[in-house]
Amino acid sequence: MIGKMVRKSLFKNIRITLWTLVTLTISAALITMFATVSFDIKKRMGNTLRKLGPNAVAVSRFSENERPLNLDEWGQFRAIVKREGIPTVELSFDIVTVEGKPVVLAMADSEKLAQMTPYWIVIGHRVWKEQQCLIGKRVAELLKLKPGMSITVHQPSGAKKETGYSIAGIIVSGDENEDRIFVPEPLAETIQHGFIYALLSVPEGGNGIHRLNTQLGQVQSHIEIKPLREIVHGEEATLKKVVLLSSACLMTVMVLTVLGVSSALLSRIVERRKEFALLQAIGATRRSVISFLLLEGMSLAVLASALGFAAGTLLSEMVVRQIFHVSVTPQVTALPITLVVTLVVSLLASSAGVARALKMQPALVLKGE
Amino acid sequence: MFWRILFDSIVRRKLRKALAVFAVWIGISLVVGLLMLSIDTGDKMNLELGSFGANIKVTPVSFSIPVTVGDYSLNSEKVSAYLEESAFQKLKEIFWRNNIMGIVPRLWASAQLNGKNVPLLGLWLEHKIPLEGGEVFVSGARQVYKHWAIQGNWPLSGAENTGLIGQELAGRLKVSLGDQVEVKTDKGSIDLEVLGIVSTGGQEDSAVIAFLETVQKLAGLQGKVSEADVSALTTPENRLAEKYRIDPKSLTSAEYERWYCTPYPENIASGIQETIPNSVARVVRRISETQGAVLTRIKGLMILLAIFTLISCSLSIMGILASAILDRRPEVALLQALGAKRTNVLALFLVEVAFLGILGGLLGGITGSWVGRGLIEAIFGGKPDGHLALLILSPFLGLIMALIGSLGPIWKALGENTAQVLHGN
Amino acid sequence: METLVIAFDRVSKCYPGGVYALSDVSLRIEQGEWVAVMGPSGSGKTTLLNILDGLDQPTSGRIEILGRDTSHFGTDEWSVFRRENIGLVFQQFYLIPYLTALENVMLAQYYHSMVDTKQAMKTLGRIKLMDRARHLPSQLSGGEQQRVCIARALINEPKIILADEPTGNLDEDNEKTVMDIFRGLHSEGHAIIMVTHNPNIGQLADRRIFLNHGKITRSN
Repeated sequence: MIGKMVRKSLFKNIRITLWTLVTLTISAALITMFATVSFDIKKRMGNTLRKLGPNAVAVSRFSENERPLNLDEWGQFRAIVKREGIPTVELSFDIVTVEGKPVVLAMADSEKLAQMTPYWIVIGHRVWKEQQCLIGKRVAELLKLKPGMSITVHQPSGAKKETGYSIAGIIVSGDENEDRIFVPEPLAETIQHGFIYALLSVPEGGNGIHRLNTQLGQVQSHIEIKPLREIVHGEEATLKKVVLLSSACLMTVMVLTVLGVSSALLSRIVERRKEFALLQAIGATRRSVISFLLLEGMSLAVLASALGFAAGTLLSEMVVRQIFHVSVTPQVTALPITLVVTLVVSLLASSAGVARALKMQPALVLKGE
Repeated sequence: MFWRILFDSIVRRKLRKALAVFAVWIGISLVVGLLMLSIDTGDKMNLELGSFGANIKVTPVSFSIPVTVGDYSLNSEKVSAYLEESAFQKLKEIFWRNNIMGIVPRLWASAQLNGKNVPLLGLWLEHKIPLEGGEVFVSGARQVYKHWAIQGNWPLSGAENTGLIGQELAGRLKVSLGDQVEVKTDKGSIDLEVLGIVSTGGQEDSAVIAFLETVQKLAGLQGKVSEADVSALTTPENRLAEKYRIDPKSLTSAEYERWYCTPYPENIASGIQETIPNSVARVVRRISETQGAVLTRIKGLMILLAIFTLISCSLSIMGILASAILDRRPEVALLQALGAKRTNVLALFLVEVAFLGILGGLLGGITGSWVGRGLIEAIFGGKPDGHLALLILSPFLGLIMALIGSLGPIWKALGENTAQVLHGN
Repeated sequence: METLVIAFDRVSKCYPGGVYALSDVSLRIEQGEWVAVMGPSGSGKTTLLNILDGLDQPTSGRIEILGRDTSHFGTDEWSVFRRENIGLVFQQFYLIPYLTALENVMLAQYYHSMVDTKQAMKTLGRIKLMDRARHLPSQLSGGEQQRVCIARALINEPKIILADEPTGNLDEDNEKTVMDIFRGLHSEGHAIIMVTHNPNIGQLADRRIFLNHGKITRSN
């Protein structure tokens, strides 16, 4: 009987019901959105930061003087990094002379390097082909070089003593890369001497780096991953603030929504107090009136949470796309949160309404006072 | 009579009106607090970005290319060009002085410790620069290198015989906290108490670190430094900066003026370069780009969040006021039955709501500033700027929200079938 | 001199769903006449009254009140017309809960022309409520509330008084007091149209109109 009454009551007052449903849905959507965004924001912000450049370097724990370069170790390192899907670029170095002056020559895969160093400004072309090179700003200034010119590199340790390159672009980076010449990677076996290190962009900052080091330790590798401490530290500090900021917003919106929705629900019940007075007058117990109202509130809340979750996920998709230019990951955890908050709000407001409605004398209400 | 009705309505229905004012109050408090937070976020976050460390590096003009890979110098020749330490004091007098948040001049030298050759680094640990107006600007490693992980304590100024040691070096030479070590150069020697072991992820990990003055004395390079790190508050590069970089001549004079007065990293760097003789100031793009990206996204995020909060707040206030008005439908009907025109009723209700809105807004503005202050202090740990504008704005915000929120319901109540409402349906 | 105050010519009111609350009702009421509208529940009594005071509009037919065709009146025109010419008494009193008895009466003055405390007090005196002028409706008994309601209807000296079951919520003593007031009003020359289902009260009127299913079945 009570179920039938709830159904009938919802349909009879279809306009009020729809309005309440809309209010509840909007609030559920807002809660979902803020929950989704604040869960996702750390990941998104982290990912965005990780696209800005490396946060760690991998180096062999021995310098070349103490121990010959062991290419097998780099093989292990590559396997681990590949398994973890961590973007990385390996650089091998040699000292060469150009026009009689010693310069560091870096050999790297052009595209991987471009991905890892988006913060460089390159005057000329960013990606270079074989027989082309990028040169640092300082090298260019001191040797008076411009894009399009050719240089000859004397490589005492290489298989070929002399190689000619044409300059594709000039690097402005503000760091030691301005002192270097970058050329395409030679075949691995030609590296006899020289020095290798790799730049990595490790997700989850310090923890991620620690995990990688543990894995490397397990295979007794002599390669160690060192964090670029200012980047890792800065990112962690920033992310902490961002999470705090978004949770402050989440809390604010929650409080406001709860306020608004409960008042809407309350007035819905107060408006119908005549109905409840009547129910009591024809012999309904207080308990049955309460359970009727709570059941009604609950069914509205469940429906609104489902609708609101969908709408809220869409909203957060818009927000995240606007700021981070990527899709949001729908947060399944946002659904229970939305459901619980909506249910609690709806039940609290309903019970407050019930208390108000039941406190009145049925006779007085029926008389219209 | 109009005011008498209004007065009675408010005074004799205190509880209900108080509830409406309360709703507006809470709503405006939160909105003002959040607006304050989002207005401050830009500035405060920019300060926070100092945790990425120095974004400008100053080095002497060099005529040879340094040959270094990572932490290892691959050519044995040492650079012999130096900068004057005294010039760095002047950085707090230039056009960008308020944007310069930290300066650390550094001097590298080589020394002997326990009979081994080690790099010796002297820097400002906590240096005081007197400013115009009697204030003192404190800058040094402690302020700039927030990413340094230190085990033990920072040396305090005045304690010349104390210093730090890099983690890697400490491990290699088995030096521990509190040890006295003798640092020797060909110009002299000093007994240094190791106050802290520092891990930086850079060259400092394998160096002995001491006060700049101490190292200058030991190396016989009084008043000289070999490089400096500067941490500056900057504006992320935008289209204008890019336009200038591609072709400075393409800017109109208005654009040039705007470019000139904007603290782009490049502008601050060139300001520094002009002040320090024989120097090259370079923007560490890895840092500045990251800072720029963080700042742009956070600003966007905060604006969106503030908008959504404003919307949700307006909706809530509207909901509360709407239900308050709907409760008074019989009253609206009765006034109409007594011969009040719709505009009469509208005026009565709107003036009442406006009063409640302004009152709630006023209260909300006051508590909102408290909320905002609390939020800013909790999140950024800094003192917020004054936001008088928001305080003045808040009663209007309350007024507007209250009016928008109640106009619809009043209109709806006026449009309802008076006979039916009076009949109790 | 024209003494006709209300003329209904074939007035019908049809609610959605095809229910006729009034069908083809023609009716003429003279100045100073007291008419009781009687009939069972749902016969259209209240609809007739609501059409008279402009709170409801007829579906068809022509109505003339005090010589003016009211069929094309808008909401606000009705408001103005009502405050000039009609006094309303409700079954459920309807007083503004936060205004005192005196202020409730003055409210009608305010919308009519100017507030005049003395005149309002005099009107309250007419219904013997002078001593309760400063009380809120919640501090008054049902009968007292209804008397305030009547005072409010009288304050602007309307030519027509419309009353919907004015004694419906009152006990016998109060009923008598209220009817005495109405008798006084009748003698002063107000036209009174009163909806009631109480034959005793109906007996007091000059004329009784019986409605059934929206039609006038009898009139005497």
